[in-house]
Amino acid sequence: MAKTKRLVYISLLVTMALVLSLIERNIPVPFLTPGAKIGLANLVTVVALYSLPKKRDIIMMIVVRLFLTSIFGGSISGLMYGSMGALLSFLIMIFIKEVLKDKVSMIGVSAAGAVFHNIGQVIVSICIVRNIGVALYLPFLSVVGIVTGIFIGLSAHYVMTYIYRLQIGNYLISMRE
Amino acid sequence: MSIKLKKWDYIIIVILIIISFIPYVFFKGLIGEKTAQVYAYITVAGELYNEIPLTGQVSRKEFSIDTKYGKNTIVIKNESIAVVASDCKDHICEDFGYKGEVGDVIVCLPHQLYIEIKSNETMSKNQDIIAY
Ligand SMILES: [Zn+2]
Repeated sequence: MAKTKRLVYISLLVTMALVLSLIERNIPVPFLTPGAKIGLANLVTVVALYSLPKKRDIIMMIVVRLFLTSIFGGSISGLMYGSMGALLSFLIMIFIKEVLKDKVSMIGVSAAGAVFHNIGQVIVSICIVRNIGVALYLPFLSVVGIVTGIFIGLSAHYVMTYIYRLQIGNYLISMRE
Repeated sequence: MSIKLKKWDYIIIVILIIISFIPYVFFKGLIGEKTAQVYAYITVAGELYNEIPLTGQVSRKEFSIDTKYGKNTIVIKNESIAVVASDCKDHICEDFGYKGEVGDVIVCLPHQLYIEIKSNETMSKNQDIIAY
């Protein structure tokens, strides 16, 4: 039973991420960095980070999400950009959350996640176009990343208040504690 | 349940901004060198035939300029350009050898071919990036 609940919850997160990715695709990014995304789907990663007790589940959620996003009108290069961004962003968020624990709020965690999402994409861009010039976009991307990161942190915070209210939330909290 | 920015949130945001400027500081010089784009400005009978960037063009590239006046075979390597073969009557154009300095010219009078090495100083860093 617990396993089913967890699977349903993970599926719910994946669905949310998928919808956010599709919405994001229709938001033009005012920079020319190939494949640059503001990383709205990071919201779901932040929520997963604070609600799923097992890191394995979070990784599974991210992998399924990336895979499905690329199927839904994405491309292989999009998957490459997305994967690198998602991986770096996940690693930095988990690192900050584990090291600083209560000293940092969701805002700091997701801002770092957003910026490292951009860094990941820039690294892939450099590898693909073989020009380090794209790295000069990083300050612009980072400002956007920090702003979206703060926005995502706030949203994740409010989403969490609802998740905690759900029974599934209680269950997840009880599992964490 | 309200959210409050904590001290470490501010510290993280400041660190993130610093991190994002690191490549700018490191690569600025490297990219700055590329801003002075040297290119070969090729005209046939006074009309622009092609503009070929020489900056960064190290590997050998061969092509021919085939017009109603005749055919010249061009080679670009080591950021310089040369006419290596021509079916013109004087073959003077072949004697110019490899040219890559701004202001250098290669001329093939029988074919009305004129190659001048120019530098595009106005090509800014941003344009350089946008080209990619
Ligand atoms: Zn000649």
